[in-house]
Amino acid sequence: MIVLREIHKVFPDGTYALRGVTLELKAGEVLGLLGENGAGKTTLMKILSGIYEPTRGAIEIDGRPVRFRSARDAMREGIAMVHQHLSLVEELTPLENIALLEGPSLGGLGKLLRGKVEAIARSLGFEVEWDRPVGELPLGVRQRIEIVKALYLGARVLILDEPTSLLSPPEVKSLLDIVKRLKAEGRAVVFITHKIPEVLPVADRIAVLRRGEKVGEYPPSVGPDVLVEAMVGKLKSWTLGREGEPSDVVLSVEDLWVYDRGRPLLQGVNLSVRRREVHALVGVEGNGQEALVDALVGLRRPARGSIRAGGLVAYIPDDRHGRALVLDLPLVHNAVLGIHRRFSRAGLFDWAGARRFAAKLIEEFSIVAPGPDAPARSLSGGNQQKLVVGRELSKRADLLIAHQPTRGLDVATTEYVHKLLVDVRNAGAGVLLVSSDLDEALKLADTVSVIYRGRVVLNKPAREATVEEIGRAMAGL
Amino acid sequence: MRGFLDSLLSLAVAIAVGAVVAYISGYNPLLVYYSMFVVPFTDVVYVTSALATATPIILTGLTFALGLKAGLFNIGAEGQTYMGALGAVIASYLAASALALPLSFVIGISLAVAWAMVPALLKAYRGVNEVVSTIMMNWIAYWLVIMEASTTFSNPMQPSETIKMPPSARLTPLVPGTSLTAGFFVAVAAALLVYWLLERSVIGYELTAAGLNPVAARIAGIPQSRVVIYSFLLGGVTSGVAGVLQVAAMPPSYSLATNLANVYGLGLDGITAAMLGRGNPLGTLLAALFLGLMEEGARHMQALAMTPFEFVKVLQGIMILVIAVRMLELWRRR
Amino acid sequence: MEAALVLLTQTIHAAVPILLAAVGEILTERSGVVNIGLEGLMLIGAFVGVLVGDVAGSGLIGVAAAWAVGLLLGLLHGAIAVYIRGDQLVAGVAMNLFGAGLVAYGIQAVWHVAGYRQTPSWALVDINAMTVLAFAVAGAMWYILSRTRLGVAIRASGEDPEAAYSVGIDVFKIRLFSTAVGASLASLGGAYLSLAYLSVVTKDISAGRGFIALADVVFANWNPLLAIAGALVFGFFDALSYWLQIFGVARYEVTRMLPYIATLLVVAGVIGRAKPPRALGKPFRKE
Repeated sequence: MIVLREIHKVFPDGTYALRGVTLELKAGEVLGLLGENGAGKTTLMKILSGIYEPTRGAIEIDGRPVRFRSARDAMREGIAMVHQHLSLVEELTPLENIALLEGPSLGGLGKLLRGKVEAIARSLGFEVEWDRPVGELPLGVRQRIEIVKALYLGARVLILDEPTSLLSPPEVKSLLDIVKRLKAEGRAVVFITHKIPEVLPVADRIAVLRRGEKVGEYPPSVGPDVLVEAMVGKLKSWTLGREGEPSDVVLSVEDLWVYDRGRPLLQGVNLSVRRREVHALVGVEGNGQEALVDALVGLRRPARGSIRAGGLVAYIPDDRHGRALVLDLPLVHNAVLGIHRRFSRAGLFDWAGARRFAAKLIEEFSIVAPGPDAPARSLSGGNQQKLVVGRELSKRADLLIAHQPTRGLDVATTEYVHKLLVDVRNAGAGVLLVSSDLDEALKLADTVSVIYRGRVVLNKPAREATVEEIGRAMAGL
Repeated sequence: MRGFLDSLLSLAVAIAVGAVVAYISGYNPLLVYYSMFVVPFTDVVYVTSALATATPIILTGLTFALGLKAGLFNIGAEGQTYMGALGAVIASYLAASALALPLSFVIGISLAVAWAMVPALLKAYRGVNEVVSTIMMNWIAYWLVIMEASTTFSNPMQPSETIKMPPSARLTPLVPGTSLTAGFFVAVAAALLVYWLLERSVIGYELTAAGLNPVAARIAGIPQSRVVIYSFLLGGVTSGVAGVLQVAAMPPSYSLATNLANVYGLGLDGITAAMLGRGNPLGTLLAALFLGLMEEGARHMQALAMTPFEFVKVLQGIMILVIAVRMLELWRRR
Repeated sequence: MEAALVLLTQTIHAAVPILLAAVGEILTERSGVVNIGLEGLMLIGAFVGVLVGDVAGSGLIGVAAAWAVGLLLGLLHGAIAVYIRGDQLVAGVAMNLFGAGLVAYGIQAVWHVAGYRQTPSWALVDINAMTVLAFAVAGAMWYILSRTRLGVAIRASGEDPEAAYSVGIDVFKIRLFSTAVGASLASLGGAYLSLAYLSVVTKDISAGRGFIALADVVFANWNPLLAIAGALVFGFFDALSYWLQIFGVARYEVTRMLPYIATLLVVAGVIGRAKPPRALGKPFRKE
């Protein structure tokens, strides 16, 4: 039995992530760890798996206090974590990834290793192509490789961090089967998620975290309503008033093909977005969404097909650090990025005008910043996103491409961004919302499309679509 | 400010390591440094000579600084300077009057820019690494200019030189007896102009943004090709001017040595200056002045301490190594 | 026929320094570190080789010394890149400047001649032995990188250091080791130039070969076996330039441009299909 006792964690930047959480784990039990993004679930489990050290508090295994200085220490006690962002090297084969565990030596990869991993996979009821680069394998398979990796090292406690976030519904089902087998073998499993329906059928016990504290522990039988309230408390929600119906087309994509080093990423995508329409493109990550967005904003050259965008395009990327901001430059430089030519006076920069514009953005979108000259890096993630959203909306574009616009944001900012997107729609622009969050998509969309393996496999008005139907399409059924 | 402290620190480390190197090689470190850093200030002729030495380094430094700003490693100043000098020689060949001076700038800058455009276009449209392509262009320029200097444009009277600038087209010393010409002020003005362009112009904004985040810049409608071409174009201009001045404002010969002695190594000096100056045009200006002083000092060192002139290059290499280490940051992290 | 054989031999001999430096850089870059200081390392290797070979009276000791000095300088570059997280490109340029300065200074300070020193006969080494060594190193490097657990760890460090670190690979040590060994091979290439191939050390003996090696790395798509092919292409143009000169086909200066023009063309032709290691040049820090 493992006990986490009164765990506190304060990060160097002052974030108080955990405020005295106590949790028990038993062999042969599946513990559901439930909470919103930022509730502290992952931090708590990273402490258990030795990645972070707690600021205060203790870990006990069978009554014996232990201290982990690294993931290796935790591994030695049989505790392994399968991360949300999988830690496989995509350029290596699964076998090479597991050989890494043995450390560097001039020895070959060995037949023994292969026999062992194949046996583990069989015991869990699946097979893997061991000699193809991991990058070419589906995400569900990669996750299984991670589990094999953990068992190869002799893990008795397996922590799965948001294991379903990258999976299609059938893949989720087979993951749950694997979890049941692990449990049957007498191992302890921690299942971290913020999706209640997923954890109910498999958990023996559910612990709920909110803002770094444990709200309580529940048996699955309490049902979803109790758990929701435990997770989020009382929610203030915007009403998303839609005005007007979709009209003329602002984006039309026809028969679009995109390749990456000979591998097809898009295979004849057809798509259109109209004014006064939020068109949600949903799909499990890695089915071509990135390639489509890249092609739309000019980062990738299509091999075939056409893209016709009527008028000005605004773009809120999923990766704001990499794509929307220059973190080393001041806020004012970032506020005008992309519309900087509007501040050109015979080739010279109108800095006074740019500063006025930045000040206006700060006020209009309630961006918390010391002023226009603060480095973009010094803003918090939420305020950086508001800066990006504000800048893009102020373009008054005809088409807005929003790619995972609320990823990593807190609840209030998420709601705010949702409202802004609907406002843009109501003002007469078209919105292409690319999201892997089905709830977000259905809440905002007038039209829903599903992308699967580089093809649009479903396209219909949102009010006619059911969750089941979309789920099946996302899984390619 | 921090960059300046870093550069000072790198100088201190270089001097310390250099003292050991000098001592091991059998030279007196005190005499070495006395002649390098004190003697140049003892005579106005020496000071002006230091400024004249700094002149081309300012300009080639700007080439590298303009590249750095845009996130590029433009090592091509060396070859572009050769081409600029060749331009001045061609102008001298074509015109025997004062007209040769403006013609020098036109031909010299055009040749240097053409030389810069090859790696720029290869980078912009073929993704060729600019470090490799600019070095290759340097070597091609080296052999091309040596060939031209010793054939078509050779000086029948003095086989080790090309033909000279016509006397009326020369930029002669402003104070007789020194080597300080108007060329120095051209270089300073170029540094100020580049600084102003980067801070105040739209293209300066685009270079800066693309240098720090090329992907975000591309999405914002700043294509990498435009950034590369502008950065290399402006860099080609300053290096071209450096080459022209090394002929038109170079008393007493006002010509190009057939072994390229008066242009050789200026591109590398410029890299040193730009790195010491942290890629900032004004910092590069200051650093180039300092390097000019060091090299003037090295000439005295050669005479007084019998130490090879190249000792100064060892010091500069160490300084840049220390810059790479970013020592102050290391300190703060403790 | 005989002429063709001579041209072939010369091609192979001219390829050796580029091959050594390129294979070393492949190792370095596969681990995630960029070292553009190959030119400086070759210069220093050429100089140290002659200096030590001369004093010790043995070319082999000269070769060993050059290799060891390259290893030390590689450790320096590795430490800057890996532990201090300094700018790798700046450090590489610094190595080139430092090498150019040190060798020009050293030739004067040691032999009191300006920029040119004939290698004494007792310091020469067998060119064929070094050639065989270079090709063997390329083969061994291919085997290590693709077939051993060490190679897996090196590639993992260059592609995805976070993932490698999370499974217990000491990314820092792997990168330091790879950078040091990589640099030592460039220095070895320099010693080959001065002790076997050209029998002289000058202040610009490397003549851009360090950068041609960088081009070869890209050409080879980071594969040591393909680097052999690339080095032979460049070696061919190097050898050809001497031949064209001997037969008076073109002026000396024109033929000397050939290898550089060839490099430009080759690099311009192959880019696009090349796929560098994902974490190349990015310093790794623990979470």
